[in-house]
Amino acid sequence: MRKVLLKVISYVIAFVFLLLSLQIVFGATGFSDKILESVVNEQLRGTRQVLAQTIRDPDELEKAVEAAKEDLDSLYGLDKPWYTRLPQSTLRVITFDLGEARTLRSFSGSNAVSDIVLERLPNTLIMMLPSFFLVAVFGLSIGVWAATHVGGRIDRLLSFFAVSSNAIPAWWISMLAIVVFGVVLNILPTGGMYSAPPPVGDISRFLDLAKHAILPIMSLTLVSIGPYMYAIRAMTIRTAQQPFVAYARARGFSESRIRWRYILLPAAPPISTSLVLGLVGSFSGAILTETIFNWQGMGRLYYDALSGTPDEGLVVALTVIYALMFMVSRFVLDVLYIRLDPRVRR
Amino acid sequence: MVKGIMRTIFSSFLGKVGFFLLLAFGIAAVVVTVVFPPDFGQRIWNNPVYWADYPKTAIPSWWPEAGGKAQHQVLIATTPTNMTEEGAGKTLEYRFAVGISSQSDPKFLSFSISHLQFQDVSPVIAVLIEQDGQFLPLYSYVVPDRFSGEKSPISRYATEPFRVQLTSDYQAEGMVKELLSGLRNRGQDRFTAVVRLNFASREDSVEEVRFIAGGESFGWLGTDDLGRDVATGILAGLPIELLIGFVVAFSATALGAVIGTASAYFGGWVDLITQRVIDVLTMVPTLPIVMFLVFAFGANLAYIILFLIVFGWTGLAIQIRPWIMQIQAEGFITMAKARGLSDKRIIVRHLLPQTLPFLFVTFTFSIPGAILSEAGLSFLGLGDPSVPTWGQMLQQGFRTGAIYLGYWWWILAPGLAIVLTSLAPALIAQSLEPYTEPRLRRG
Repeated sequence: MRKVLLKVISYVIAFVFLLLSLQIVFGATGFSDKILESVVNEQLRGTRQVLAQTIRDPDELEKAVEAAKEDLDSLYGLDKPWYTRLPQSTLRVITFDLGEARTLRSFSGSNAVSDIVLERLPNTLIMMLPSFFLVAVFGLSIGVWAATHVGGRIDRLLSFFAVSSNAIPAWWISMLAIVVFGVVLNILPTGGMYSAPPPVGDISRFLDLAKHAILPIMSLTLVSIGPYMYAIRAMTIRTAQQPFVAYARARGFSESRIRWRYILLPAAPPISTSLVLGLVGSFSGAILTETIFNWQGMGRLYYDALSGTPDEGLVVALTVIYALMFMVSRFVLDVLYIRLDPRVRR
Repeated sequence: MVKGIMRTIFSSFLGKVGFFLLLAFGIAAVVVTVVFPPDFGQRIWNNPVYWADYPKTAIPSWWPEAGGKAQHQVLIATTPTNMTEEGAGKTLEYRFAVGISSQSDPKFLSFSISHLQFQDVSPVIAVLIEQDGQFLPLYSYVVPDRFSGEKSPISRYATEPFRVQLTSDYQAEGMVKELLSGLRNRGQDRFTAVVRLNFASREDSVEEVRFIAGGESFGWLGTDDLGRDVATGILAGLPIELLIGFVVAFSATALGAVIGTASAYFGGWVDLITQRVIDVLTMVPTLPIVMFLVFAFGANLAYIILFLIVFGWTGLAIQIRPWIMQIQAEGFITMAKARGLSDKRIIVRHLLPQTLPFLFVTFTFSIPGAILSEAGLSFLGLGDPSVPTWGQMLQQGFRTGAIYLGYWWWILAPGLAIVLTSLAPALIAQSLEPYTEPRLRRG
């Protein structure tokens, strides 16, 4: 229990540290001033209209607007240098007050960052979880198989596949897949989540979504499966050459029992670690995949926030959320590890 | 060690493939660096004026579908073929050998002149086609005279070249058609176009003359939507990709090795601090954070390389620390300390050499990672706009809908280039597996 508590503390410290550095980067590069200025200008436009109702003299009006601007500047802390706002802005992010987006809106029209992001999160999961499942099942079985057949032709083929998937940008493969399946063969949609107009009825709607998800899920699986398979192979290779495996084989146990009971089980903790890490890593990989398939998840949102007229507030918020998700999964993993591995527990 | 590494690489087929691939890329990158101007990205690649004479989204000319279409030709000359000086003036003659396709005529003929400079009297431009020693005049023009108050030397067409469509009127077009069909019947595959410039002063000059035969297919790899030659872009990107790959991989490996070793060797608070730093760096997701940093600091190649290094060294440091501890436990380090050797000497001479083969493999293996990371950033629109990179070419293709419109050459070529340049070091690293993992040798 003390170990878990220590973990919690170190993760919290790291998170606060990260938030602080993000805010410092944003302050020092002048972006935070820019965001606040746009907020102030937005409000000022409203104030000017209200004031214009009562004040007729243009000079008077300018003076009143100027006074309102000064009020707003001091309210947002724009009259002082950026670092005086640090504690305040960090605290705001910690309490999940993520602010408002400048140009992007949620599907329901809200401009609150938390609304926009929460709407996108399920879409990202729809794409990621099936691919995670595929990677786990195929990666495990193929990886262990390769570990028991080291040096064989298929093992070498798998190694080559794993190495080349480290060298091939999956997002480029996705583009080719769109060209082949979406444009040339014309059997799968080229992007988006639903046809336009979306079909009526729950079942046909679901089928439509599934059809749109095939290519993104396949391409996401393709990125992670090679390295994962290879990692499993590397981790189990040592166990596969242990005397107790040879002994089990000599006793005439079936090959599948040897594989699962004698090879995979002792290597379970590092394998589950790399699987969860892979899952967390594919959150980042999904940024590119979602962008290419115009999948309305968080990754596509990040891309939209960066391109065209950048939405700085949204960029900060998304970075924080990605970091948070990553750290929470890492934390769960660490705690699991303490439970799984008797050596660490002691 | 070098011998052992080389022998291991050459003992596997894929290792050999990777080695020679990388060697070829390295040589090509050196040639490109020497031949291409240093400001290629800003002055040529990202300058739409330069590419105005090229066809937009033209298909590669070797592709069967391009068979019936005329090949687009842009002939560029910066030095005249002939120069004759007469009196105070001179005549410059630029000759262009224009190819004739056996099936179809050029869609148009045009020429352009950029940055003319003259002293007092306007130069005269004449464009002719040579046939059997005779000159067939197509066009002539007197460059606009001095404006009131303009000082010598007078400069014309410095920002935007002077472009003339030679076959814009019916008569000229008919004449060219007749000429070409005559040449074709006689079995000739090219004709000579001459651009002649008459200058009144010998100090007058011109920067560049181009002759263009219009067509719908172009070059080895076609063009993009701005008319940029994809093949040129890929060549120009090669040294940059290799630079990113090598600098990031080398710095990250060196940093990881030194920090990991120091952390294990000195222990105490050095170890504590480095472990906490590593904790923080591995606890954050790399891609979103690097995206954020590049966005905040601005898309500059040096920053991108720096951020990739900062987030790239931790894995090695984590791996190497227990290893160094193990070596230290073997006793000869204690002996070295007892003999009074300096820390630096012990680390450099006794600790690091033992891990060197492993470091080399790690280095080779991180090259593709670095190349792919930069390509990914470029694809998300965070590439350095002053240098052409393959990721940016793909991004422009994606943004303008090349994948939906069927411009396959624009998507296929840069992607394949990325794959091949990152596959080469990956194959080398893979072939070295038996060298660092002796256990696998028996397979």
